[in-house]
Amino acid sequence: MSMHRSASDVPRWLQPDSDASAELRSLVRDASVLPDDGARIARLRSRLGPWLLTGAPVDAPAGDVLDAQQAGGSVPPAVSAGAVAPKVMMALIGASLAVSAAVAWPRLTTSSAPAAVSAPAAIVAPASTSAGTGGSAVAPELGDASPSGDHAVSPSGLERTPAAPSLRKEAKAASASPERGDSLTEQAALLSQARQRLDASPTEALRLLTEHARRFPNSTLSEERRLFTIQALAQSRRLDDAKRELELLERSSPASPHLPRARRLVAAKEALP
Amino acid sequence: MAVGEHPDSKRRAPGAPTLRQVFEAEVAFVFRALRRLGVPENDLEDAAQDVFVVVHRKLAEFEEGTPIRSWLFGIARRVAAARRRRGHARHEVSTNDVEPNVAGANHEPELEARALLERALSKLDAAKREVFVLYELEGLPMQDVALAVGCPLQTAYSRLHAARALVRGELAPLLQRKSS
Repeated sequence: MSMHRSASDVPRWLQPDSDASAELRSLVRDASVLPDDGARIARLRSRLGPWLLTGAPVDAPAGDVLDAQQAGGSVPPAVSAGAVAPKVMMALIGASLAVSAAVAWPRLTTSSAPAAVSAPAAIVAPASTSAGTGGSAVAPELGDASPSGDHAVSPSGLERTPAAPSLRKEAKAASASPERGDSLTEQAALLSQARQRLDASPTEALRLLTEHARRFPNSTLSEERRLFTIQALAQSRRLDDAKRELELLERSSPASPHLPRARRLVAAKEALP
Repeated sequence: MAVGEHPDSKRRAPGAPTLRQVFEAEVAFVFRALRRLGVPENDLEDAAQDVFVVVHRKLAEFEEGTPIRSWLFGIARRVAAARRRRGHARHEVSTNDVEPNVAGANHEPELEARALLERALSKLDAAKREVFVLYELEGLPMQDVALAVGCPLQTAYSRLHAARALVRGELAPLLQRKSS
């Protein structure tokens, strides 16, 4: 450790001209020796690998952690350790906007956490059919799906999958059954296109999201797709459908880091006259 | 963010750092800082990842000339504080529960020393602890310390003196036991 010292700095306890006793100096010196973090650093480098390769600083939108930082606030309490992976993925979606789809994803994303699948055909149903209480954004099968603790029930009810696995578990699963990198790049591009159209053309965004749901029903990025779907539905003033999608997200991924944002989106539209 | 005037302040600030450059140059510092901020061993990796997610987002706002470690520490302390609030520290073995076995120590001296110092640091509030860690253990110039914790220079000195007094008070009886 190097000690930088300006003229006004008082001598540090580790320095011989400080007022610390020999015992105190010795203790602080010993305490300064920290464990070697080499293995941890290597694992983190691997987690962030594709991201690090993008090089230039990227103005990437991401989850609530980043929103808080942008606002100068602190990290909100809702994001759990297990939610780090989606957070990184959201940042990567933003990154892919800025640096093209050349971002390599596989090591950060896995197929181990497919969220419940949206009902593709229903999402883009005309607003007229979803007005009132009927709502077409919910697959019929989901009407019976009850909250299932830490498990999500897919719309078909045929598979049960962990809703919020830890990043380490995901990393292990990734090595076992990774989604193909080209598939993930394609998915990212599709979701990015949808995201770009959320405000100006929510109908087109819904079409792209439906295409994503049709082509990648068990995608690692299902939670992100659902978030964008909620946003698009809310933007289209299809509030009943948006709320229904929000319920699906809450049910399938109760620990999703996207839930606070999704709730805010729906609440904001509800507050409008 | 203001720019420190000390020559050392500028030494670590590359003109336009990329995420990779920041990671490779400072990841070890980030781990150390998080550990010094009281993040439990089990949570270090996730906390470090949180830090670099924020770094990634904020790099565009990084002002050339800002001491990179001051900037990173500012991020790390917010990440650490947020994790504390969220209860990630539940895995942490409270240092208050560990009565260091100084006399019959069968651990390495570094481990004993760390346990003793950590125990003393745990008695400090975050503001004093941060200044103490950055100045005494990380060796940052006091101007960079003030920048990192977001306080005036004189306030940083005051916190250092207060932290020193408290740490001394905590360690004195233990050191006496050790010497006897």
